[in-house]
Amino acid sequence: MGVPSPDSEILSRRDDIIAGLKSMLPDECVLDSLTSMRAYDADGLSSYRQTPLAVVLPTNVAQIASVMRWCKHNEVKIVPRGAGTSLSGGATPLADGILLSLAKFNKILDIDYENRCVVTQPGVTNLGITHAVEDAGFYYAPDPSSQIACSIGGNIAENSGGVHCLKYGLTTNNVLGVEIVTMEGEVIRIGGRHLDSGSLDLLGVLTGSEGLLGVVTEVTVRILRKPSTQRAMLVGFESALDAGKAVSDVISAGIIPAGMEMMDNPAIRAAEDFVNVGYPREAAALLIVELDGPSVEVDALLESVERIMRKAGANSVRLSQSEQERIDFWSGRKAAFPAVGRISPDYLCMDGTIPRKALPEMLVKMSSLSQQYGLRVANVFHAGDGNLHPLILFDANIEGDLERAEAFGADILRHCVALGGVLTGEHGVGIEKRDLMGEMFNETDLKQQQRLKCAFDPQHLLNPGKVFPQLHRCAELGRLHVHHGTLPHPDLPRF
Amino acid sequence: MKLLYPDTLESLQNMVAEALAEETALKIEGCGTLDGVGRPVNAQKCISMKNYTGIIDYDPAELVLVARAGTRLREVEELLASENQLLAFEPPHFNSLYEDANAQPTNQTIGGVIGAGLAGSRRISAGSARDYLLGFTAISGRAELFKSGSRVMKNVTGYDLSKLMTGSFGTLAIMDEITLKVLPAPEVAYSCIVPTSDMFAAQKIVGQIFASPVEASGGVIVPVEIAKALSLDIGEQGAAAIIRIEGIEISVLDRINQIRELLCKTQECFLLENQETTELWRALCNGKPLSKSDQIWQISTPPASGPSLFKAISDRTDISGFLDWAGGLVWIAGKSENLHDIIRTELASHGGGHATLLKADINLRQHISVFQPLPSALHALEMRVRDAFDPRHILNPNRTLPAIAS
Repeated sequence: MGVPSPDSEILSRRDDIIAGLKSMLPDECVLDSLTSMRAYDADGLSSYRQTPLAVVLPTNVAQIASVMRWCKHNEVKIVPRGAGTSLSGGATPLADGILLSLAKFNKILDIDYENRCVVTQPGVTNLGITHAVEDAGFYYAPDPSSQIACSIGGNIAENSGGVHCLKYGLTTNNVLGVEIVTMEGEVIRIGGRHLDSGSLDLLGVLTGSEGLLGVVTEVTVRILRKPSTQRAMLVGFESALDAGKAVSDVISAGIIPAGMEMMDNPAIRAAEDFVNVGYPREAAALLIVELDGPSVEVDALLESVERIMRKAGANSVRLSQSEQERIDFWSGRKAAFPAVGRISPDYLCMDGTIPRKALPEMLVKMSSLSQQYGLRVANVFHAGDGNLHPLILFDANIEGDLERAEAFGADILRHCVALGGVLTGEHGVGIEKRDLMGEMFNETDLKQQQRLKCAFDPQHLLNPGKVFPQLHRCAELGRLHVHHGTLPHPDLPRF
Repeated sequence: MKLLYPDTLESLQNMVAEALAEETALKIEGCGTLDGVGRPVNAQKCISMKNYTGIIDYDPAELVLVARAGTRLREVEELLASENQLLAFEPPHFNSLYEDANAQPTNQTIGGVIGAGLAGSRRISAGSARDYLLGFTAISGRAELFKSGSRVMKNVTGYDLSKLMTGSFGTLAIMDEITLKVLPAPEVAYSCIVPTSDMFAAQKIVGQIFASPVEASGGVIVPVEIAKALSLDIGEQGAAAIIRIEGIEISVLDRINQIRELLCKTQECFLLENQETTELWRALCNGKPLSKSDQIWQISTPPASGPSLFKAISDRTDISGFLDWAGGLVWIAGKSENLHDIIRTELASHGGGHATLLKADINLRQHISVFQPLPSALHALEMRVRDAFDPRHILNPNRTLPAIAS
């Protein structure tokens, strides 16, 4: 892990670079003292800290465009940052790069109920969008756990999910349009209040591109009418394997709940001790299943779900009888990370996805890895879509503990890939999983992805050191090696 | 044009490598059903994927299906139906639009559906082909095999190239295996038809229903002549709103009551049940009421702009058509030689969006921009993205080439 070593030539130009930035931006929009930059030295992956060369906080798109153009001309790197809640180090600063904060882009520009969309600046929080439209009965569907703090621009960068994406999709399924500034300082609008692009789906590929392709300066998202009824069910199991199987059984029965979450015993205990909402402390696993829609539908489906759960071996089933109780059911799950924070000095939050049916096998593997590394693990899953969040508990004050925790985490992710899954379901690759990309992709795959990067940023100035384990020069990537009638890569591995 | 029929990954890769070495252009097609979409491709060779078939894996419990690109859409749909599942984005079967082409009704391929980025009426509630392509393997214009995505629902590992492939009309790479997310099929489907004075009134009703918790899965606005073509009796009224409700029966019936309440019992509404509903929406998705026309456009615009855009165009020239996606997809059929100019200018002043010429004779497709012209900076960016996959422009050259907006 870590970021590329800084370019000493850039570091030696620091004073000139800051003077250059101050010539384009008002003084209060450029931070260059160590104290003023301290708040920006890490994102949610806080074990990695780095003071940037300078921090800029532009207030309009023209300022961003001039900063980008200037940086391209002067070959200075840029790291964009929304609210800084990334768990994979997407906004980890570079010592020889400028941190570009979108914090001042914090206004909602238009609420369009006729077309059921909201046009907003990227620094507005995810929950801020829902708050702006909830009086009219609407909401923005993707709900990452950090929704109170994370910005919608950051959600685009990471293609954020949440507990309800089982039914309502991730960010990519809920964004209609963006305005971006490219590394060249061009302002480009893609999509709008209508559906699809009518040309290449650049919006789709920008979403989840981790700030490597452009800086998002405006976002249009679709909003949905709140369902008339939402009810949640708490289901306790004596065996985590049975719980894993029950998740598959519900989907197999043709039921797609709004959310289907799972917690293992250490996570249940930590959450219950923290929020006291009546989670079964002795259960090996707990499922939270939420259904939404018309009340007759919710009631009918809950009946089916309960039948499936009991058949799979559930030994406690509780149904929310009021909106308050439903919120209580969720409160433990939503507070799982801070709750685990109380039982361990430090924890690493991992994020991989596996096919649902591999859940039982994964649980077995996880407990054997836990013994092998001598570290405890608490598990929260977005079980409905196979997205795992193992929390590896460690103590950073014990020498070698962080490294062991990271190795444990890497093993979990390797096993996700081996089971037919992926390295990251919703947190992004960033610097955290960068060096594991080779587990999932071969050189040809990675080079093809980097050629896309070259189409946007041929000098690798925008957020370099993230996502890709090895940076290739764009000129080298563009080269073709062809001999008449023969394959460029006869020994290409098949998969 | 020399026709090539690869049936293995190796033969496909060899054909592309050879074309790359010779720098000869390749036309890429499934069975040619969608040959009439886009600009005509001038190439010495054609790679037809008609023999590149087979469902590799189907796991109903995981909601995943993997098929080779030339597998017929109909075969995929029949297999899914046997497990009460479906492709939720409701891909249209466009063979009826292009009857004159040598397309057989059963021949539209899954690769064609993804390549053209097709989606039917459920686009508005369930998403498009782009939202269901979980991953793929493909041979790029560099003759290299690469993959992207996976077979799980939630994945942000690396760039989401599935989105780029969807709707790229074979200009970036030729798909080998396609991994799709599938969903349970709804138990029942009802249509609720509300006759109204005109299309503006119908769109208001559809808008009102989509802004309610009813969770409609389709909202179409038809003028009276299209209603007649669909055998819907709307009496003396000028237009109708058609709303589709799907799900478990108890819920569907409850939601139909909610619609009746929303209409305040002042507006009449009649119902079509399962079989009739299936047939009606199949016809709407496939553009059947317009299929005899020689020139057909599809315009994506903000839903509330649909009726005024339709009226503005029909004020200037003789057209027929209807609105899908709650007003956001405008279907237009016409004859006028300058229909193209009229659509592009009216679209710019009525909400914006993009217009695609879905069907026209080869001559017209050669001379006007089939796809929405792009602003110059976006155009340049798209060209660089295309070059990243197909640097020698050997795959379907010019098929989608967008014009630069003036």
